[in-house]
This record gives sequence, structure tokens and C-alpha cells, in this order.
Amino acid sequence: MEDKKPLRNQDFRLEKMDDELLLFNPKSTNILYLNETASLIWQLCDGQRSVHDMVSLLTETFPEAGASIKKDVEDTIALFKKNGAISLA
Amino acid sequence: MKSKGKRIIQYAGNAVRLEYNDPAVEEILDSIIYPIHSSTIDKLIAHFRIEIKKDPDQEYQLFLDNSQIFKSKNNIDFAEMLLSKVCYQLAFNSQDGMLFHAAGLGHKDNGIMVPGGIGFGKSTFTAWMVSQGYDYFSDEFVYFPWETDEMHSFNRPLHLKRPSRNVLSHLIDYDTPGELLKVGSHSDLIHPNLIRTDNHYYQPPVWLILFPRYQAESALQWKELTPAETGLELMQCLINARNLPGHGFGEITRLARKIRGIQFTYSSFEQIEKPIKDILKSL
Repeated sequence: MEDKKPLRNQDFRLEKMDDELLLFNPKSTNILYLNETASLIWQLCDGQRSVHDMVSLLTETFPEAGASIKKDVEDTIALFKKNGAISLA
Repeated sequence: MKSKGKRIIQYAGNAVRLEYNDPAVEEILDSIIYPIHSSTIDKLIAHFRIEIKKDPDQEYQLFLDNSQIFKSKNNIDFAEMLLSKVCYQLAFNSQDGMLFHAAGLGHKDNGIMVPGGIGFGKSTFTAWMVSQGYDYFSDEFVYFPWETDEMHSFNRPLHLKRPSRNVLSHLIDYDTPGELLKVGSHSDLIHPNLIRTDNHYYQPPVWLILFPRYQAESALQWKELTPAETGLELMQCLINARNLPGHGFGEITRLARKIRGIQFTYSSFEQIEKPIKDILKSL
């Protein structure tokens, strides 16, 4: 998982609402609610950064969150993948 | 069949025509579908025919576009099914606005929408709200013409499943079926005036969205939703998404940004009486 580079599925339409996101795929009618943390992770899914890079970046930015960041990122990426919101290269 | 009467039911940009062979059908129609002012241009999308067979026993028969789709000897069961079929046709074809599976209530010219699927206790909660003094519009559909906040609720009786009697018997007089209370085999059709005599219908702007969840023996859990959470919940109750541009996603988020959404889980009305009054007292 750590070496994978997640890329957002462009089919999803995005609505930013305060610091949260709603993602909606008109093709599958799948809808996802992303809280503030998941929204940040979504924005990092550019196909260039690996999951490891994301964890490093978020740990640097939010040192107080510490060890929970790795699990949060991996769980969120798994949720995105399960719902077809990203591909993993 | 020689028609003895007909009626057009208009709602959410559509209309259905009902024809019948017996004036007795008028009473059934009056008891299940209340007049709604329709300001939209409505398309005729279905033709129902109702026949009453007298021999050997009285039997009610329902036809849709000349195919028989239901029959019953119980006039209240028949009324419930007719209501359900009419609602389905109006909802399935609606495309000029957002149609939610939701109850519609009002307070001082402001709208309260209560979205929820089957089994969430929406109608029971709605009946209780009416008993608390809020105006009843619908326990089934709320429609917003495109790019408006105006609640057009499908005005009909409260349709309460039999188990709800256990929690509403102190609010509703179930002992005297009549004009205001129709008792079917498995459920009751209740005119809102049986609960609140000065109830009246209007089409207010939506002011509040409530997402109640009944759960036996639970403590009260009360949550003010973020706009994104409200949008997520609304999308799941949008009936006609497939008919709308972008599946209505843009319109949903517009509404969710503007209107306060609250979700709560409860096991008794005593738990929610004060918090709901506190919210609505600012009106």
C-alpha cells in the first residue's frame, strides 16, 4: 500500500462545503462524504504522491496527530478505492 | 365502463387522471387526496380507472392504462393502494424539481422537512409533531420546484402502520372510525384534524431539516449536521435524481448550504420535546 500512488477518479463531481467535501459520481450515483481529514487526503491523490509521501507530509503538517495519521490515511485510501473514487498506480 | 366521474391529481409537475364508474368513489378520493394548489404546468402521465363491482360481493378494482393492477373488497385497503399507486406515478415521472421522500410540516409560515426512507418512523414522528402544534402537510413527499426553497408537500392523510398505535394512542382517538379515521387491515389513514383541529396547508420556504431515527431504548443522540452531512442525507432521500440534470447534486448542495440540518436518535417523545421546542421558538 505504501508505495501506491492514488489518483482521483475524474468522474466524481466535487462540492466543497466549508472544510468538508461531497463527492458524487453521476455514472454510478455513488456519493461520498469526506470530513476535513478525508478531504485533505483526497486533495493529495494526484497520481504523483505515494501513500507513504502523504503520511510524511501530513505528519509534518500535523505533528500533534502523530501515529494515528498512518492509519487514517490508509483507511481513507481503502475507502476511496472501495467506492471507485481513486485508482492505485 | 361508462364513466360516472373523473378527477385530475396534480403534483410535482405531473398529473394523473382518475376515472370511476360509481359516485361512491368520490368519498374514497376525498379521504385520501386533499386539494393542492398547483402553480406548475403539469403533464398528464397516467390514467387510472376505478370500478366498483357489486355482484356477488362489492369489490373495488383498480386499472392503470387499462390493465388491472389491484382489487380488494376492503375499501380502506383499496384507498391505501390507490394512494400508493398515484404517488408512485407522480414521483417516478417528476423532472422539474427535487422530489424528496419526506414529511412536510410548518410553523409560523416556515417549513420543516423530515426526510427519511421506509421504516425510520417518519410518519409516527410527524403525527407527534402535529400533536405539538405544528402544521401538517404530508408524511410522504416534499417537492421543490427547480431553484426554489418553496416546499410543495403532497397533502394526504397520515398513513400510520398499526404498531404506531402503541405510541400514539394518547394523542389519537382510535375508538371512533369515521371521516377523520379510516382503519385498514394493516394500517390507518388519519386526517390531521383528528390530531389538531386548526391544522392548515401552505407552501412555505424550508427553514429546517430534521432527520429523526427511532431506536428502542436508546438515549437521545442529537447532532447538528454540517452542510456536507446534510447534503449526503438529502441525496439518499431524493426520489427523482435520475430525472434531474446532474442527478440533482448541485441543487442538493445549494439547499444543504442554506438550511440547517439536525439528526437525532431517540426512543421516546419526552426526550425530543424540549430540544425541538428550543429550536423552533426562535421563529
